[in-house]
Amino acid sequence: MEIVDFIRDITIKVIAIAWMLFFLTWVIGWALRGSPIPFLRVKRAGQGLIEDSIWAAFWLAMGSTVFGLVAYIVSTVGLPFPAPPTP
Amino acid sequence: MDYYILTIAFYLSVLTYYIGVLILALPIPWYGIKKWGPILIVDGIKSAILVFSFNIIILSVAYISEVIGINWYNFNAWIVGKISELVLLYTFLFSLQTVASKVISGITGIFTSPLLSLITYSIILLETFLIVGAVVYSYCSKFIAIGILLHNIPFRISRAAGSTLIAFAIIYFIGLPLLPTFIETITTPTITPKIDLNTLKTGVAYGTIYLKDIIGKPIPYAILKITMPNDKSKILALYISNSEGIINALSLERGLPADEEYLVEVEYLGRIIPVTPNPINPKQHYKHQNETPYIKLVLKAIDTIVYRYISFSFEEGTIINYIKTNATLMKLIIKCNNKKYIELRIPDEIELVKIYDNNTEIVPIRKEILEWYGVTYTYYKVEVEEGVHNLEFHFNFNNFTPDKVKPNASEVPYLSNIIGEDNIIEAIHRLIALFFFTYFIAPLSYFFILISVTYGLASFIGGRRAMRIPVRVI
Repeated sequence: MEIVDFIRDITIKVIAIAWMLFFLTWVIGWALRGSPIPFLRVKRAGQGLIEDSIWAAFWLAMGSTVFGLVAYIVSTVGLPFPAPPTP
Repeated sequence: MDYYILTIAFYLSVLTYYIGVLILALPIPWYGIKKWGPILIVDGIKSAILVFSFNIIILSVAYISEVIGINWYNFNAWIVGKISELVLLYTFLFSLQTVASKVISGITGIFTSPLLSLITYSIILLETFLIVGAVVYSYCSKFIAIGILLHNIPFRISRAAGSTLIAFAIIYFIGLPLLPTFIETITTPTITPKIDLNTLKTGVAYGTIYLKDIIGKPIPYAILKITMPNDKSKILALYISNSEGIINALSLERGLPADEEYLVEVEYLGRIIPVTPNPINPKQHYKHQNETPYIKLVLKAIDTIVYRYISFSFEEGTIINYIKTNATLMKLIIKCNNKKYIELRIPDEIELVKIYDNNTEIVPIRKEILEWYGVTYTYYKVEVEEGVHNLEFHFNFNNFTPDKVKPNASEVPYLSNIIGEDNIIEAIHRLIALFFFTYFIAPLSYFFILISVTYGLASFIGGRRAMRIPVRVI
C-alpha cells in the first residue's frame, strides 16, 4: 500500500497547508478591506479573498462529510439488481 | 487487484478535492488559478462517485449482457468457424494456383494472388477480433478499475484516457459478442454462394486417367464416376473416356480431387466394372514432369476384357490362361473349378455369330436386349462347366460404327461441380468478394460503430466541459 500511503501523506499535507492558507487569506482579505486606502478595487479584492477563504474553510470542514455521504448514497444505490427476465 | 486500484483511485479523488480547496484558499486574486479550485472540488466528488459506482457499473454490464442474451462461447465458436472456412478457401485457392498454373497454360498467380491477400486480411481481422474478445472478456473489470484510476488523477491529466478505457470495456463487453448477429443480419439478403465449403477440402489436381481391362487393353466410352468414400451418392465428378480409354482432366474446370481419398465407379454397357486401385489416394499417383505435379492414374479392371467394344465379364475363380484375338474372333482358354458364367455385352450392330466350347458349338443360356445411356446392347450369359475350356467367339462387325457406343450422358467436370459454377474464374472472384465483404468489411464497420459508441460514452463519463460548483471566485 505504498502508493496509497504516499497519496494520503500528500493529502494530509495539502489539508494542513489549506487550513493555513485559509487563515492567511482571511487575514489578508480583512486587511485589504479594512485598509485606509480609498481604492474601491483593492477593497473589493479584499472582500473576494474573504469570501473565497470562508468557502474554502467550509469545504475543508465538509470534506470527510462529503465523501462519507458519497460512499453512503452510491453504496445504497448499488444494491444487487433483480434477476433479468428470461425469454 | 481491482480493489487495490480502486483504493488508489479513491485517495486520488480525495487529493483532487483538497487540492481544489487549497487553490480556493490561495490569497492570490488571479482568476486563471482560482478557477481551478471549484473545478477540482467537483471533480473530486465526481471521481469519488465513480469509484463507489464500480460495482454498479460491473453489475449493470452483466445485467445488460444477460438481458440482450450475449453468449461469449457462441461468439468465439462463430469466429473460429469462419476462420477455418477462410483457411479452407485459402488452401484450396493456393493449391489451384500452384497446380493449375503449371499444368494449364494461361492460369497464373496473377489472378489468384490478390484473392489470397484478401483472404489473408480477413483471417487476420477475425483473429484480431478473437484476441480483442478474449482480452475484453478476461479483463473487463480490470479495465474499468484502471479507467477510474486514470480518470481520477488530479488536474484532469488522464481523464479522457480513463473515460475511454471505461467506455471501451463496457461497450466492447456488451457489443462485441453481437458481431455474428450483426453480420448475419446484413448479409442474409445478399446472394450467398451455392458452394458447400467442405467439398473444397478435396482440393484440385490435374492429370490423366487410363482405363484398362485385365490384359491392359483400353476400355473405351466408359463412364467414370468419382464419389466421396463416406457418401457414395455425392458425385464429385463424372467423366467419359475417349475411344482410347483415356480421360483427360486437364482443363481448368475439370481436374481431379487432390487431397482426400475418393472412390471411383467405372461403368461400361450397363455394368459397373470393379477396378483396382479403389479407393484412390491421389498422393500416390503424382508424377513429376518438368517439376510439374501431375496425376497419372491407371484403373485396371479386375474381371473384364473389352475386345472391340464387346465386354466379357468373368466370375471370380475363373482362370484365363490364353487369349488370342483377330478381326472377328476371340479365342480363350479358361479353367474353372466349378460351374461358371461368362457375361457378354455386345453393342448393337455387332452380331454374335457362334460360340464354340472345345470345338463344340454352344448357345448362351440367356439373351436380353438392353439399353445404357442411349446405347443399345445385347446381354448374353454363357455357362461353362468345371474344367479347362477352349472357347471361341465369332462376331460380325459389318455395320458397326464405334460412335454408337458413346453413352449419351453429360460429364460433370470436377472443379465446376464443387464450385457450383461453370465459369470458374468469375465464380471464385464472386465467392471471395462475398467472403471479403462478410468477414472483412462488415466486421470492420461494426468495429467502427463500436468505436463511435465508445467515444460517445467516454464523453458522457468524462464530461465535455468542466462542471463547477456555484462559488464565485474573483
